[in-house]
Amino acid sequence: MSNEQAIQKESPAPVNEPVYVPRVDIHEDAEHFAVVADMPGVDATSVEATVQNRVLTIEGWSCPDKPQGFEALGQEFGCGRYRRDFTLPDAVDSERIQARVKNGVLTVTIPKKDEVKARKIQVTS
Amino acid sequence: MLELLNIGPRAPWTIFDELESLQSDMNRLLSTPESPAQTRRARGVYPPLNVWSSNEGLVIDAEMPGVDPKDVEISVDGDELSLHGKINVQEPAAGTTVLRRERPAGEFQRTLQLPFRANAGGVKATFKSGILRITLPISEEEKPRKIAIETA
Repeated sequence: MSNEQAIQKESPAPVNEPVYVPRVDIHEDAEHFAVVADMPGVDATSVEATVQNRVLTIEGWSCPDKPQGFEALGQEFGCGRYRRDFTLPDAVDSERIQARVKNGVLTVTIPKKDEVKARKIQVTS
Repeated sequence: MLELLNIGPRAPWTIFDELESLQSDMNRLLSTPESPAQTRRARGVYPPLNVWSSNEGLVIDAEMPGVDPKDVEISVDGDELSLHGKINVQEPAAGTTVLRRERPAGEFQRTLQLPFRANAGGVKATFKSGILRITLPISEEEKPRKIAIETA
């Protein structure tokens, strides 16, 4: 194992690393909100989503993996931490929030509470 | 006071450390990705690349979170590498409202001048955690070779 990998394993959030604000798309449908965040380089072991006091925090860590025997010629992205906070509306069910990471994209699905879901009311005559 | 002592063995501490950490805290608080200093790359160049080199050739990493590898075309022509494709072009499902859209979407094209002619047949590409890695071996005829000096 290279030194870099060892550091990556034992220290998911080193102090003084640059903090990147991941870009997000936010979608809403009848049942859910979804936060979709670009966090390239992270996988399930290096990303976290937490909810506390109606604040959703997404956090991740990634570091470019230098190939063995190669030297850096030019770098446009480097090691760093991703972090962003979102205040959730009242009407969400924070117990059932789900998060999934795929291809460096974190998707957090936030279900709405039953009482705020749109429902059709039968009109009687 | 105890906390001050905990700055650690890698001191000397400088005011710059403090400023940097203040800056990163501010960036986090402001929480908008508009300023290029806090995003992972400057706007307008896609995808951002890391280039690694050795005697054997180059390894190029391209940051492309969420891209479908089927939508990316990699072509090598002599000493020119070109990446072309599209990202995030699928329409949201019916009944879905888009509340915010910051992630880049659309077509992209980026061309890179290589320092050598690549062996096009040996080019390989893999995709992991949103990072596309392209391995470009140098062509045999451009590899440095040692010239034996004959003695008279």
